[in-house]
Amino acid sequence: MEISVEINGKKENWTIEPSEILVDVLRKNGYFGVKIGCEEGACGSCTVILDDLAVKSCLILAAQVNNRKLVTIEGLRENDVLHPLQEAFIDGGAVQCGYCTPGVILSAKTLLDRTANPTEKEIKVALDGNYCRCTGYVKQIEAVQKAARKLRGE
Amino acid sequence: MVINVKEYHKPDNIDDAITLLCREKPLTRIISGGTCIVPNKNPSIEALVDINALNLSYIKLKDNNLVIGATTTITQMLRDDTVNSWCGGLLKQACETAGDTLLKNAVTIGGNIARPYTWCDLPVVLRGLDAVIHVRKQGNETISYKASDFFAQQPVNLLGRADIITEIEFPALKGKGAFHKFARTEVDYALFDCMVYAEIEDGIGKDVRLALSGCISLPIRLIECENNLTGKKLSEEMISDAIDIAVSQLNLKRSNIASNEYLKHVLKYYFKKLLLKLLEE
Repeated sequence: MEISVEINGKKENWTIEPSEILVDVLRKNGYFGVKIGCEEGACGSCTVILDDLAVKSCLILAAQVNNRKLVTIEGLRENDVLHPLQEAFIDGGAVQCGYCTPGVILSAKTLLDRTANPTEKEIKVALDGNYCRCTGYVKQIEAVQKAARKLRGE
Repeated sequence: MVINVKEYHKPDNIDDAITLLCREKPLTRIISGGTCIVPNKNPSIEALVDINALNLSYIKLKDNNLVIGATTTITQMLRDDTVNSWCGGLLKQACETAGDTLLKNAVTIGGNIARPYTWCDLPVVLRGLDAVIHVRKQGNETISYKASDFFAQQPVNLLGRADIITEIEFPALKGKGAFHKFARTEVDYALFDCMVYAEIEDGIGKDVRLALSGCISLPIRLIECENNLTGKKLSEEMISDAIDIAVSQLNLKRSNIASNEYLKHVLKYYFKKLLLKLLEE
């Protein structure tokens, strides 16, 4: 079947099988920033933003996103300028192996899109679907706070 | 994961959806949020009907009752003021524990009750608040099931192949409730979900309800305990005794994680804690 999606601001048409999972289709179309981890909706490394909400793309069929809006980690950078979240994660030592990082950043982005000054608890809740086995989460939370400050213009 | 699906339909009216679901072949199932059906390894499922274009995503009041459309997500519920304040925050507390944030963005209330796996946190609230589940059937018929009937067996045995849950109605109640999910972590599957509800006036429990799910096959009410407390002037001792007796008599499912003895001990603690807190308020 044919589907049409707006991905990272661009319209794309994909030919898919009805049974194909979104994470597989995204990677087939070159979006390798979307990672395959547990394939059962636990780890969050497959996180994408679908219609302004962070979701696990291993639990979504590609067919479900027909005529909808997707954002992957590749879409955060604008004109070669990193998003404040990406900068803060890199500068703040919040990236170790990096496998969870795209998913964590996208979850954080949806939080900062709605809440300009999130509390630590709100950040933890926003990231509670993303596992990180490397960092212990402390630097990630700090990076989100730093990005939030930058986005607020502080 | 739904490896054999060859057809995907997204009808914009419920009659077409039911027509597709009625087919003997291919075996056709509903997809709503997708978190349950997508990882399904059943090779017999060959077609899916996406019900998200049927306008079943809404939250509204009808004659003071709270009505929630079946494809409303947990996140949508949490963003609604009426849901958040319903029964003193009971529904909000249950929604907050229903999976992690990413799952809440996809999980729908209809899906959470249609297949009430032990990790589904909402069925116990429906059971405790005597919610009504409206189901559209073939032939333009809608049947309204009381939660006590809906959860008297696994809903998959009650619902026909082409039945579609359309909305869930929570009756207007005067009291308050509280909910607790007991799990190893905040986002882990529940070892049990318990809720209490009480309408208390001058210390008298005019309407006291206790409901439980997770460590038993289906969500239940602790009827005998409720009868021992309803209409009585509530005290800590009375509440404690009634809960001790009721929980001791429960037949819990075998768990690989915790012994029945331990679970009953913790269950007694949380039922008492939640009910005493309502009494103090």
